[in-house]
Amino acid sequence: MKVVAEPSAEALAPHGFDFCPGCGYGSVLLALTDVVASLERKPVFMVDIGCVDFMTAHMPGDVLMGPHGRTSVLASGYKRMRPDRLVCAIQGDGGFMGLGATESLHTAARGEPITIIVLNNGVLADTGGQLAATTLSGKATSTTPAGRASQHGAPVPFLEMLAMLGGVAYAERVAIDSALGIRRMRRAIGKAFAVQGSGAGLTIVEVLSPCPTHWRMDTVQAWEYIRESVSTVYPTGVLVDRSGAPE
Amino acid sequence: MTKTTGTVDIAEQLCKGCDLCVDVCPEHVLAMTDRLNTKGWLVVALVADGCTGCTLCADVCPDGVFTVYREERQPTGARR
Amino acid sequence: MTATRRFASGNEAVIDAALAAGCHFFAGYPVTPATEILEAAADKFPAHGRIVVPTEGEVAAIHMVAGASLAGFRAMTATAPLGLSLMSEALSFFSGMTELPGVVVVQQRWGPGDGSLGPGQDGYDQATRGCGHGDFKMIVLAPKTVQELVDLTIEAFDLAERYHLFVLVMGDQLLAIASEQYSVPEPAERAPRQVDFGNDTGLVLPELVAVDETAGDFAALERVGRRWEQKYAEIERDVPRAEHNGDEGDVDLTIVAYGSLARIAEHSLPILRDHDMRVSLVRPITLWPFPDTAVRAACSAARTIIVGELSLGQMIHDVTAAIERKPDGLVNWLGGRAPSTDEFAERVLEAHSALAGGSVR
Repeated sequence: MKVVAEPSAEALAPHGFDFCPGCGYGSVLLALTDVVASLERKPVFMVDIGCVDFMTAHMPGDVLMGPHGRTSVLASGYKRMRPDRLVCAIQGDGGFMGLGATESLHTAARGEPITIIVLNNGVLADTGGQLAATTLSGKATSTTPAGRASQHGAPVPFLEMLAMLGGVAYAERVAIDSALGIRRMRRAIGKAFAVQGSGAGLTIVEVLSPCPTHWRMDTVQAWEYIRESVSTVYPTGVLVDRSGAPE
Repeated sequence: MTKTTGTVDIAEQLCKGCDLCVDVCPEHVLAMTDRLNTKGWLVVALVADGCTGCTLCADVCPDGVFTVYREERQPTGARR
Repeated sequence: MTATRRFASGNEAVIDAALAAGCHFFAGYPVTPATEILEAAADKFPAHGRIVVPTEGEVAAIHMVAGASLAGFRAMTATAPLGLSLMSEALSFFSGMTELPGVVVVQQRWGPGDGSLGPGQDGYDQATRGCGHGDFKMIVLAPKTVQELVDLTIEAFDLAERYHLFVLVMGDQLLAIASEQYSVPEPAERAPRQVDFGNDTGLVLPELVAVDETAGDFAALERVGRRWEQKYAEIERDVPRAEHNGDEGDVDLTIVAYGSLARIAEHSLPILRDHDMRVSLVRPITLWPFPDTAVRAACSAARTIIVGELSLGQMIHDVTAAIERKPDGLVNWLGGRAPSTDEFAERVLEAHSALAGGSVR
């Protein structure tokens, strides 16, 4: 029989991933590895702090882990001097949309021609599931045990805010909530790199990623929660495509 | 009606027993076992005939557990 | 290399020095009294094919500098201690943990918080103690003239690459705005340094993260810490520098001061001599590593040792450690005010006569 699906041994080396069961971050790594294998030259990666930093050992290319939230500007500085390289920043929602929101916003405004993959699981997961900018209203976290209420502010539609800026060449939100969602994520990442290669501006893929551990659900419920709740607040789809490049 | 046949290899050491594959498998041929791997996670197993090699389990598995095999579709007139 | 003579402010001169050093990248955010450095970069960098990014803040600036450095290019920013506070987390990551070379010119103004706009030297502790969290140090150079600001800025890039860390060039508001003659080499092209990152070998940086992932034990992590310990010890051995001038042999008084205040002190020496005193001045040029040996040697022949600072007294603790006793006095100015040479001499004489009345040594 013929092999029709095979995980990347390179990505999994040496002992597999350290994410929790059902965490979407492994799916992102596998998709990214797949996409990178089809590129002429590997991108360089800058990884934020958070659960994303468990990705560093498995990235399909050279990787630098930098301070929390500022990965976009770190990557921009590198790209300014190495416009010939594909540069990819990997950030969580806490870093990209919370702590580093200023830098993220102005990276978009400047249209830095890098690709940012934002893994949005709606909590500060690495530190134990605290309130994040993206947490849905009503959702219980370890710092909002009775649920996110009005005094904690409303969920921030950060990608929609960035999409208003002319510097963003491509922005797509995808969801790890089904096999189809995972395939769309892989395609979106591929598209983002293609647009970056054309030098059009900032490319962003936001991935709604399940965090069963801190959402206090089983893994299948976490997918349902994305489909039924998260993606109604953060709708999936292409928000910006100023690339002019073919799909 | 002909049906494609397939099978899967399961890298038990990578499995965390998250159950997503069991949920998506359209043929219901995967199930959680009560075995633990050396990391302490329950592992999944192929427990019945009927795998079609559709790759949904591999698509959804966040830990790269599955290698999927499928019998080549034969030209008209082939067996089955 | 041909040198040009120019007449401009310290802030403008910094960018002439940066161009001469082959600096390819500048990112910065305005803050008094360093703003004109960013403006001079914006004015002069593009014509030489260099990149300048006026960022949304100091945090973005220092990260962009780190990114450019990661690519192998000489990169810098400029700020005040206020901005250095904002950059301190990044410096911990990039100078301390990742060991990237880079240069930050820090023009000091006095005060905590927003402080005042006048000159200060109260960024001393911040700069010489690594300024951010964790076990790391940065080389801190303290020029006293615009010429020395130029020379030390150029040298800062060399030191940064030799030791793989960030070098701070610590000036102050006087040095920032004072216009003086200086000589500076012509802008130079410089090939990027060879870097391992970006060669697609699966490199993981910083080393501490890579070690944590592969070895995963504290003994392996400690070995990285021990390597840093050795690196900093080598810098403490080879880099300290001080200037000592004034009367030879036994003296009544040795003054310890750095930067612009040392320059004022230097010009006050003739006034002090008019009061029948034998005097000398020792000026640390490197604030970290502190020139312990030179300061100790200079002070060993002095009956009285007085430290001058534009702060509540920060360097005085390093002087204490170097000479292994408390200096006899501190003359200091606060609020963003620096003294004239007359005022400096007057305050030193007051302090000295107060001491002479008591038991000095």
